[in-house]
Amino acid sequence: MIALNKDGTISNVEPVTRDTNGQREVAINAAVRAVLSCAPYEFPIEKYELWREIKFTFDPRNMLGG
Amino acid sequence: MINQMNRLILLFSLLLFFSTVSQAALEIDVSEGNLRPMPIAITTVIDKQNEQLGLGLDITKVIASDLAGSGLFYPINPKAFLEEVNSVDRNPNFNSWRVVNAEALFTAELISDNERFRINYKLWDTFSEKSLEANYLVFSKNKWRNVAHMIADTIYTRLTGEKGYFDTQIAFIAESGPKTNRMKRLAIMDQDGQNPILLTSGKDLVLTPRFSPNGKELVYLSYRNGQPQVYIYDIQSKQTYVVGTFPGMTFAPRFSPDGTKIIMSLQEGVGSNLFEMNLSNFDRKRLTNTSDINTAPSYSPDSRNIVFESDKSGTQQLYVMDAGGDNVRRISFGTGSYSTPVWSPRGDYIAFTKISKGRFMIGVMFADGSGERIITDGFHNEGPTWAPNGRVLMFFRESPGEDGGAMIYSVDITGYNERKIETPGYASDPSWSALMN
Amino acid sequence: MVYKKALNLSVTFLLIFILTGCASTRKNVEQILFGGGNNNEAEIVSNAIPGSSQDFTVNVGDRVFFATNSTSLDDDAKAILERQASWLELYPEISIIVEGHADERGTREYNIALSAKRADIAVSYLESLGIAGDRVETVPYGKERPVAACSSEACWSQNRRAVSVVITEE
Repeated sequence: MIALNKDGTISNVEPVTRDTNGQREVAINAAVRAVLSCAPYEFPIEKYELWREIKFTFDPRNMLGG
Repeated sequence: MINQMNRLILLFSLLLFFSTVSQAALEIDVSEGNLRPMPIAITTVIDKQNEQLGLGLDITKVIASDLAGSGLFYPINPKAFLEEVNSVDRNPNFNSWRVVNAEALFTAELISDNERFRINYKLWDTFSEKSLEANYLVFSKNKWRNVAHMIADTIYTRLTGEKGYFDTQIAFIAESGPKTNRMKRLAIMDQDGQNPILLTSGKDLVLTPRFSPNGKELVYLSYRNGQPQVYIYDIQSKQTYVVGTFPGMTFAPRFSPDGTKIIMSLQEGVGSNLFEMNLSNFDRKRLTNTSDINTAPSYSPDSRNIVFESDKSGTQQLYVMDAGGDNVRRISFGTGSYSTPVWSPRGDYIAFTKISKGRFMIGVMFADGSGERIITDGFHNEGPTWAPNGRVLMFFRESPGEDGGAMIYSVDITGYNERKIETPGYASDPSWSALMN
Repeated sequence: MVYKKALNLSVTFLLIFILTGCASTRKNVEQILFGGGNNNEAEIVSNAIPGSSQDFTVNVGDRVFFATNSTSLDDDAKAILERQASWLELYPEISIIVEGHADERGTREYNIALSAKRADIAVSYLESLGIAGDRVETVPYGKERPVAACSSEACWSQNRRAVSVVITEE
């Protein structure tokens, strides 16, 4: 879950799933880095209420051909 | 399946599908991503006392080389660094590392006391500004390569969630001489090709070494008494002993995962059958009893099953059976023949050599035979061996012709990042050890 | 048609030979054309001592060949083994080792087993012709000792073989 400021910068990142088990923690760290590294986000300011908080669901299943 | 994906360093690209807008928070599913090496800043190990030794720099180079060699990391050129690290104790200025695109930062310092060295090191996540690892190792100078590999393993583990594989060795056959009369010698080297050591003189033809699980012994085939027989070589004592006396040739040996048993083929008349030999009392147990060629056995990591190849269908195919020899079922059904199955140390995949239309390929399939995937394909690729984390394979590739010969390659099981391992000459039959420390 | 049945000989005596294909680019002092049977194209000038390994190799024929992945003896192979058996009956004090070989187009361990099977099948045929089992040993070499080094059927067909070697007392 991320909270955004009106200028598209991130005010807070909070993983919904927490885990200290190696692989899941690593995946969460990677997802958080991905979210942080892509800021600032450009969304229409008039709809700020809509994107003030965004919940990302990361599912890497489609990334490899199997 | 998800776990297999998670271990890759992902930068999820934000090509988003706006799915549902629920109450307060917008929900976005990210199901696509980029697979690309993670940029990491590896700063030179600080070595204030012994700068002339260059040990800090040597360790840094090995760590960077290991991580780059995995294909999952991209060590950033130190010339781009904006901040000089003078101490591992101060928190870095994360912004100056983010500016150079570093997603992780490694810092370390070396302290020496006579012959003992201590390396203090830290790993940082530059985006979340968290410490991922802070630790130290104490070592004597001759172990500096192991220490570098161990640190690289730690970095790999903290950033991928997988066990590392850098502090490992490869047993192999060093080859020299003409193709019609190749000299073959037992040899070991570090995983990165460093420190090659020849263990036998070349007088006797030797083949197919395999590491014991504790890395102290090799089981291999030697023609030392004229007949091919399975022997064990003790790396520390340099002693060799034969694994039981059998009426026929023994070959295709491999240790059980706990190191207490050897599984191998025994030639009996026209057929070759699988036997298990207990190393503590030399009891032998027959596992197959047919007049076919049954060979190349490999245990599952839980020791419950054995995969092997047999030509009982008319061509070489892969079969799995219970460790006691019951419940034999064929798992390979593609076009061509299948050989040299090796069970992954994590249990999920079986790697193999596939021969089809005159080409020799390395591939993997799930242990039930599904999901076959070819990793490399060419004139002659053979004999895969697994890194201890089950993510990387080595195999040998033979070039054709009178001057042709074998070289060892490593490749990620995705098929990416194929690399040749530098060896002093032709090299074949690689066997990857478990982690050494 | 030219039969390229190459032999490995110690260089103690010389023969006229004809070689074609890739084998001709090799140093062929040690590789000679097999010229037994009805093969008129090879002129054998042999002064080998009867009962010697040279006599066996040149005048009898020391090797038989196999098709890819096959362990069965064709008529040519059987004819050669029959001559070997006759010769061994003439010299009952002589023992032989039958070496099994495979070409490079197989995996290492399978090829060892395959070559063992080839040697074993040759020995079984010799035994069926009356040669006592204790005069014959086998050693499987897999793909480790090719006689022809090129990577094409011209060489592979020479390498898929079972070679009978006369054991000479030191």
